[in-house]
Amino acid sequence: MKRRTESAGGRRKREAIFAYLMIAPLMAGVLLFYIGAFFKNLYYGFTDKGSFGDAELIGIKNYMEIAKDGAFLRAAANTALYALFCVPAVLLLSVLLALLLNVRLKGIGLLRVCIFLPAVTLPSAIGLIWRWMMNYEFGLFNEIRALFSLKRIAWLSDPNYALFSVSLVFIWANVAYPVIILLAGLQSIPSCYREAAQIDGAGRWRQFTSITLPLLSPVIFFVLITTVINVLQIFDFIYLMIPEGSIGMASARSLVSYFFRQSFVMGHRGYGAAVSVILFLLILLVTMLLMFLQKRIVFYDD
Amino acid sequence: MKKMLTAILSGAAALSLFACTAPEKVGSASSVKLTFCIWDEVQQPVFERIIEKFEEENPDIDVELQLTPWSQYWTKLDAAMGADSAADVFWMNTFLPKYASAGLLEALDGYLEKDGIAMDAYVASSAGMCRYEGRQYGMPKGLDTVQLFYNKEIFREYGVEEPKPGWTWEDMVKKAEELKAKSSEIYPILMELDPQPSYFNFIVQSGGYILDESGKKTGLGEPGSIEAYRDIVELMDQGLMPDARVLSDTKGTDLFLSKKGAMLFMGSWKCSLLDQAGFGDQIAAVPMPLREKGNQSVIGGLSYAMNANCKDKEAAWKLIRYLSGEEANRMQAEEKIDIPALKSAQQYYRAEHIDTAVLFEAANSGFPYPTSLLAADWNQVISDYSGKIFAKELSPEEGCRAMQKEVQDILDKEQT
Repeated sequence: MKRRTESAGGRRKREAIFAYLMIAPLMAGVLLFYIGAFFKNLYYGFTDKGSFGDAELIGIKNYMEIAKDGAFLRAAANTALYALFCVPAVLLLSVLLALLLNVRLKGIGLLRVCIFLPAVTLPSAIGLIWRWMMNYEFGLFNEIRALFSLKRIAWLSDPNYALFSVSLVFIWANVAYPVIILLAGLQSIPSCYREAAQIDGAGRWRQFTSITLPLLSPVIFFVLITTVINVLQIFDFIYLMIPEGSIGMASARSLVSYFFRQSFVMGHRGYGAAVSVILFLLILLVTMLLMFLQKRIVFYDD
Repeated sequence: MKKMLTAILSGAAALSLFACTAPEKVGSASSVKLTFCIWDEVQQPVFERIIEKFEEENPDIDVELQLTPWSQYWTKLDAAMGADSAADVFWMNTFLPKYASAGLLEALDGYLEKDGIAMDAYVASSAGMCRYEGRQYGMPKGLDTVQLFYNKEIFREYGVEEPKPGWTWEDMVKKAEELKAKSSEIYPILMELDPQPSYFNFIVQSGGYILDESGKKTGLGEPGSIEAYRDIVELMDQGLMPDARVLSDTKGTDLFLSKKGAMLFMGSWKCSLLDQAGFGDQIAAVPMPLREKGNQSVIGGLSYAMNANCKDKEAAWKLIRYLSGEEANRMQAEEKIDIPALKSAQQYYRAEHIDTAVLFEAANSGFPYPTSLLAADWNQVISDYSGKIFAKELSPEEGCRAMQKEVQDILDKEQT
């Protein structure tokens, strides 16, 4: 008896070693390029690193300056606005579209492909096409407005519209992926629940609020978390659609755009690193808050 | 024949690899490899030909041309400098002091002296731009000047007299008003709201300045500087020029090329665009209108610089000497790339439709694009506040006062 447990333990040990060996190549990359880079970035945040050359430790000077930096605060406020616009819109639209695509219809496959298309399109292609459609002088949007004799709008350079326009593109591009996940979630809900509810006389709305929504809530929560993280890191569409120097830039610049500008345009790597650390803490905080709320808003069927 | 020769030579080089074991000897026998980095894809074909010629004349040197698009050029150069993997020879511009002061560029004075090359063969402002603290860190490539282009067809159609050299800012405004009165379809005046093709010229033309002679003081808060911004905003307010929202969205040059505008302030580096336009024969150039203190143009320009950590500096110098010499300049000028900074090669620069005399005049009377150690920082400040002035978030006075303070702070930081 004793010998057998020993050998089982030995096998487990051997298996563990083997498992670690198998993930070693991946972990080497992760350690070097993610975790290593993360700590290096943390360190740079406390230095005055420029474009090149040695960096000197300057303590928390970067963070003190950030606290007084109007452009940083503006970028932070913009990022909050992006989240405010995009997160509810993406959630609502993706749930609606998933419900729509869940019906049995002829040709629904084609519709699903169309909805999913933005998720497999290059962000740069999306950005450039939308930039053209939103162009003041030659864009499709203003041509349509002109048909109804409405005034032209500078979608991307009017400070009052730029953030809204970028949000619109972000929502369009980021709805597709959640739809697929939600659709899978919908299809995993056993139909017996709904049939039982029907027999009990529940209407469609009641079925949706009492069965579909609670059973789908873990998936919706996942979509919520990933969308929040994505939108807090919004950069590509801003970079692609609004040129540096445009008068719309200040009102559309996000925290990541600000980090890019400091680190790579102006060559303040240390300051940029500090900005990115603050962004990291912000995302951490928001995610923790959501995780805390998870217990109240998510229904787990177990 | 030449190819066979290179084949034999490289064969010999390969043989020498087997023949000797000492690595230093291999280095001296085999060909030298150089990398040369540029950012403009339009110029790539010309430079490929130039390098081909150079390699024919120097069979022992093998040059690899690298193209890094403008948007990533400086980011990549900075990163490569840090990792000691930057190209041996590369294009440099107004950011030269930043690299020279960090000891990343090779001073060329010794080479120039040895080969007896005099810098006065080049346009003075252009040669001066690649000097830092009394030493030559780059060889000038070409000149960028700013002038006004206009669409003759539009002037004829609305019966407005075409601009003539010696005209004034007031003449320009009057013509613009006439055009505006006759058509609501076109923008009378266009410009790109970047410093070089726009406000840096007007500031100096009104008696203001960006940096003073010493490079330690800014004059952005001077009355002349405020005047320049006020005049631009006024053009927008009177509808003689599209407002900043439109110009942020679509470049002035693109509007002009789609026949939406009558007059355009534009840099010479975009001349070939106009020359190749479908209505190229309807486009003419004229010097900028005179303001209070003249109509001089900012002169930008590139130079060729050598990496201080380059492995074979003699070979790199040979390449730079060739690139900034007569033959390479002629090849570029004939392709209408830019006006050569080398005076003796300027005769080769011809545009099909545009009168190049206007460009040369601007080159001779111009002033160099201001620069200093922290140019990247204060250029950002100026561009941010200019945007706020054009967006009418700030009045010209407020904007200029703020710029004066912040740019001066940066310049003071350079001194410490």
